[in-house]
Amino acid sequence: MSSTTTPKVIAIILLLIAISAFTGMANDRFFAPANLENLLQRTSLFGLLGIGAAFVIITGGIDLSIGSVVGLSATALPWMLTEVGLPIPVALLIVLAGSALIGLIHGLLITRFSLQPFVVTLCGLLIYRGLGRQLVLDQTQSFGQEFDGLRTLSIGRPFAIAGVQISTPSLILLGVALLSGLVLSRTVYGRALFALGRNPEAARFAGLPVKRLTAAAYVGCSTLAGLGGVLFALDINSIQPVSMGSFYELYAIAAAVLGGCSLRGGEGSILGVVVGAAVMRVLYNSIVLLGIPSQLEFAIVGGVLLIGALFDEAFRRFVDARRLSRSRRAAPPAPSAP
Amino acid sequence: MTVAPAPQDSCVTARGVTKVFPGVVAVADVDFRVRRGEIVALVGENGAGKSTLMKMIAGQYPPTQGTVECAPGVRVALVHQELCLADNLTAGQNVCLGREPSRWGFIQERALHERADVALQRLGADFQARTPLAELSIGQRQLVEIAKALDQQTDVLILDEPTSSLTQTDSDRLLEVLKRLKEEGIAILYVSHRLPEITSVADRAVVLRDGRRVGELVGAELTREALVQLMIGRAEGHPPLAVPRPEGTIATVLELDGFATEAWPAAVQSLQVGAGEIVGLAGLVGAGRTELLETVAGLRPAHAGTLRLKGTDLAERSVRERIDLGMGFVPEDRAGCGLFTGGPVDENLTLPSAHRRSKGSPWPPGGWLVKASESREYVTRAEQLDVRAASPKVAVNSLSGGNQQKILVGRWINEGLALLMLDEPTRGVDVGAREGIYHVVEELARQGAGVLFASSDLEEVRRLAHRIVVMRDGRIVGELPQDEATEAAVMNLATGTTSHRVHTP
Repeated sequence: MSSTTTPKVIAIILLLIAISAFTGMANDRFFAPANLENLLQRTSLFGLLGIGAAFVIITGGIDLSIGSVVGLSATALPWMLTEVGLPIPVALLIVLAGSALIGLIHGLLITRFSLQPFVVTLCGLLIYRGLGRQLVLDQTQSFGQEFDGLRTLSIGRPFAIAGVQISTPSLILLGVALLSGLVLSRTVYGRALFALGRNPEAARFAGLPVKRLTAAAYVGCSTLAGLGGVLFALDINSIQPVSMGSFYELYAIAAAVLGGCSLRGGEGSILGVVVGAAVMRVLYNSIVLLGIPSQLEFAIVGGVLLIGALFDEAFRRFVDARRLSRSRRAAPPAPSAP
Repeated sequence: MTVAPAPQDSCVTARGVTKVFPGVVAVADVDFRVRRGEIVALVGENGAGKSTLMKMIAGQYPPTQGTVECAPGVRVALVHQELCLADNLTAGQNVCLGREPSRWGFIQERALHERADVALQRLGADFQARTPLAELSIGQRQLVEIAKALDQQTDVLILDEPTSSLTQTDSDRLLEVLKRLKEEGIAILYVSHRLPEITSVADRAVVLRDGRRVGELVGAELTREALVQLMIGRAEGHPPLAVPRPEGTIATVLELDGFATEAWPAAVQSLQVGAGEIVGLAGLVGAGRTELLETVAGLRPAHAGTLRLKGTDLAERSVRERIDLGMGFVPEDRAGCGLFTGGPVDENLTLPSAHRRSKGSPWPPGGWLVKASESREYVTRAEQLDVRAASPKVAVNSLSGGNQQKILVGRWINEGLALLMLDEPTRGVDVGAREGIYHVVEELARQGAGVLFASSDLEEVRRLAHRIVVMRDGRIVGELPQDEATEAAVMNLATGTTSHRVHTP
């Protein structure tokens, strides 16, 4: 975490606490174990997508196809298990490897053919949705009764803390977050990724393997979207190929941006993204618990994001102004200065 | 900005203006005045504050302190060194850009081109307003820029290095145009490095050094010698070479043979740089020096020929492989191509070599960061280069230009450094901090690295280089040993007035 993202992460944690406290005071069902369990599980699923989005956003790119990859993998997994009859490990491997391949194709199109990330992943958004629907001819998919063992991957609750059951996806998120945090802060790859986001031209001049670094970020993003799709499917067990995962890319991007990632690239932290995902879920939960008309959901989420962006810009200006005045004091100009 | 009554004939008066940028006082307490119908030259070395002062006079930068006053109704136009024209439009459309004559919201192309032709003819242009800009030479485009200013009824015309990329003939023609405009009562503020031009056209010259006004020369006082003395604060002479050129036969580190860049595929050339030798590339803007350096660095594909570093053929090598073989390149555009803007100072220095420190680790790809050896590396280099940073973690863009440049040089310092290349090593660096950069370069040469640098600042080339190679139109057109490289000799080669080759072993 760089010195400029730390205050952002602290701010987003405070925001999470503030919204939770406010909602909890207004409606005591917020702190009920069942509600917290649900929040944790949802946060974990969206957190995985947010971490994927963060990798791409740190390079200065964007991935709009996340929701469609979620939809495709959530559709393909039950179809392969129930219709095709593939063994579980094979089906899981195909879904995850296929998602990674999608990311690789994005990465190659962006780095080798110099297409814009927005365009490439917008096309992806449309293509994978179409492929997913065609695969099962829009039939709703379900795992039936035979795959309860597999479904514990998403709905299992291996242990409890203070009466709140912790679900398996939370553990998966914890693992992925620790690993991603380690990669970003402790490896040459991670540091190079930030450098590349700050200035891709400088990264090229410094001899960093810009194309490979960028492509790897897209592979990571799509793979996490594929994993997210698997977990969503196992959780819901009734997957509509038309709508499964739609708009999820926006939740993921919003979580990343709330968590301190700059869409200009070169900034962001994993902790921030996870908290950002939590803020999104808590906000949604609050709308329900506070009795706000659910039609307003998007408007409220959008408003919070906008205020966050304004606050971020104001903070940046404040820091710049302070830096300028400090250097002015360090180098006093003419003696005639008043 | 306060408006006070200005003396009658003054168009623009600057009083005690100061401009401070983060880490740098660009202009300090300067008084300046431009009157109608005179040509004032603004002179100084690179980084003396000329551009900043001009931009304040043109109203593009607000001064940090002091005032800039314009007489009522006076319009000021600034023609940048890098021309800001749209080459998908005609010359005339460029001249009238933003002020097109229109009826019912539709542009009247004929009226527009007639009006542009008037402005162009006033300048003695040898082309029509209907000519597409893309077909015009740099000299002709310069006239389009000036015509654009005239079309706005400009009273004060500011020209930033208008002749820096022009041939001798085009320059002479432009100077004639300036004299004519002066007769018409336009005030001209003229910035140039070419002293002979200044002594021939300017009525007076104001000299800046380190952001301060150090003197003014009027009429007969305005001689080349007097200008140079004021600019550099001492009489012109051959600056002493701090590091002598290595004696006898020296090992070749860089060897170009039949080499051509993609930008100038026809310009085939050969060049050698020896260990411990400092070679300067001189030439006009656009002579192909940057393209040559970037091609050698592997940032652009080569068109033809062989390229060897210490005997190793680099043809199929990536930028990183060239770096690992001992090559380092400090680009001209520090903010655009050099620094990881916003990132901390230490990472900016250590990241390009991070993969080497973690060698032997198979996972993760690229290896773990070895933070202890990294911070040791930073501390060593910062001390060696005398980097002044408040802390290793401050954002690199908060440093002064000189310190930023040292960070970029520091990236490449290691035992294996064979060839250091620098493009405009002191652009945007305070005059006082330049010697620091020169010392670093000389010290690296003393330790055996070959140095190849490009610079438009002739004083700098002569200060630093053992051997001066002059380029024009993508081609090496001549070579001068340090003691024969007078300003005239280099300019003649660079502009094509003469073409000769002094052979040095």
